[in-house]
Amino acid sequence: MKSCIFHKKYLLAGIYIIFVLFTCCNSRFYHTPLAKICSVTEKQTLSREGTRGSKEYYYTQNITARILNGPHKGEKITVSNEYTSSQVQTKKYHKGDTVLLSGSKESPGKTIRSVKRDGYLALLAGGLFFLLICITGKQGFYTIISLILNTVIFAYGFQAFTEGKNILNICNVIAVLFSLTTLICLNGIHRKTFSSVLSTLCVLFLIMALFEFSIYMYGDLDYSNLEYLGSTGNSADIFWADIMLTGLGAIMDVTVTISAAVGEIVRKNPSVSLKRLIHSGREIGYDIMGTMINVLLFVLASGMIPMFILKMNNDISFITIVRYHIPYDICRFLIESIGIVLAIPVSVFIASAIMKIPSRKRGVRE
Amino acid sequence: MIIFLTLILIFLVILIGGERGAMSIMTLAGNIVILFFSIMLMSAGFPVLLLILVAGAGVCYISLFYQNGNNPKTRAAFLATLLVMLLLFIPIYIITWRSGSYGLNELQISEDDFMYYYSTDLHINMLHVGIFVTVFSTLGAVIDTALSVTSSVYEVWTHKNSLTAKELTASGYQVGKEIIGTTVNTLLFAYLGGTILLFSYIQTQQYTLEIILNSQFLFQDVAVMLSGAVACLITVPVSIRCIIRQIS
Repeated sequence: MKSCIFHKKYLLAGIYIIFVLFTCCNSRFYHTPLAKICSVTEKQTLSREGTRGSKEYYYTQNITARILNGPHKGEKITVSNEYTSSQVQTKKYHKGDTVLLSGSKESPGKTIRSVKRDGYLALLAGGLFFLLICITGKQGFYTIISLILNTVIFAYGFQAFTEGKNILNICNVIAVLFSLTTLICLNGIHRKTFSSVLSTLCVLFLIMALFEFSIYMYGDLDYSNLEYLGSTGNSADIFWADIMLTGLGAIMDVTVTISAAVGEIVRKNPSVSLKRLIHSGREIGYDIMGTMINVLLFVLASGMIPMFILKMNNDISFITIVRYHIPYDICRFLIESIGIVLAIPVSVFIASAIMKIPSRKRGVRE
Repeated sequence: MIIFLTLILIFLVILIGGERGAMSIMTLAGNIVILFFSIMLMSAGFPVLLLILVAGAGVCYISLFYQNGNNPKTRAAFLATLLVMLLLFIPIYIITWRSGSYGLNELQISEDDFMYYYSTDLHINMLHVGIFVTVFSTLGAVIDTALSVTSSVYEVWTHKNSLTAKELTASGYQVGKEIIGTTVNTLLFAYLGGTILLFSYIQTQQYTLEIILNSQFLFQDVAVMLSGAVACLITVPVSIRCIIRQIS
């Protein structure tokens, strides 16, 4: 039995490696011209005074690259590239990088569009899937299914949105679908699942009501500074959807953790009293509440750091950025944190009730 | 509106968590202060890689010991977090460096603000800032996973002291399995929620699938999400080892 599992792991590792290798040399399937950089010579062209009085150096790279696909396959091409020592807008390329060129396959252009990143994407995604199955076994498989299903549901919802349907309705439907698929995939059809689905939906309803209420009280946010706003008109609705989806995962996380822990305690010690159970559930809740809020803080705040640095070096003060550039990020963070906090009492009570009452009946029957 | 929501959050945390809720608020404030000082120092040109180490250790210390006290649970979680982050630092560095997913992405560069108004001669290595971003997004999730695992194992152990290390490991994996799935989904949703605008913007730009798959705007967020998930997975066995060593 054990050797069988080992064989499976080797098989998976093999598939993973083949998959990554394939994405590294799939250039023949590309319609965009690709090239591999063979040699790079660079020289400093000028230095300019940057912000804070320091020197910023500009470099020009002369790159010789070998074309990987199309009729010109195998030919050498020279492109030039400029970069600065901070690499804010420009990139330094290295020997061995595979890059996408501008132009078409028939006549490759002389500029580099971007690095070929699909190999790294495959490396990370494949690594995640491989580790999921290695560490959590069958559960990992279900997690992968839930990830794929959620992405598909999201894609469908997005498709419906671009066809012009109301994003709020779509969002309500897919939020319910998300929580059902995720929790059933993760826990199977089980009492734990029902308690977590129930708690998740209750909490979701509560925070969206709170959001509506605070908009009603204090007026809508100004969405004109939202990133990637582009041409979409209904930014308020999109932001609503954004808030709902962003927090869903975190809320499910809290409800599942609490119901799982409550279930585990009942399994190990079926004679535990209801009061003790609620006490334990709350204890776990307190332990995870702070860290969950911190997870959200770091996930949401880290991405903004480059922006902060850039703007603060352009004489925009920290306070100005916080007040005028990121109020929606703060608002989103606060709403999700409130959701996490509310999820604790709601799921402790629902989980304890659902876990305890049937098992007590069973005890009487036995 | 933000002040109103902040007050509600503080009120609820204290109402539900009591004294420990107040501690959570203090921790949160502490982490925000750390982030604030990190941003300040980084934009003043402080070496970023050194800052990752200092700020990272500070965040671990505040999130674990200040918030949850010094006990076997937090000691094990601290140890596990440090081990995992040290283990993952080099892969994160290599991937961020080789895939060039740092600095501004294609869409941000083409925004008017950055083209005309801002000077980008910062004399700050954006590669290191990119690593800071990835490490810090991962850190929160790793601390959370480590603490969930150690806290659950510890809780099971206090209910039944007679369990052997093997049974505790099994119990830890059981809990680990159930939280990993949701943690991965938490990260997925945190990403998906933020991308509705991005995707509707991309749709107006008519990129081909190849360009999108290889683009930085997709990769930098997905990479953060995926490496967070990988880090959490590695945290499970590491933190089970650590907690069992602590209590036995």
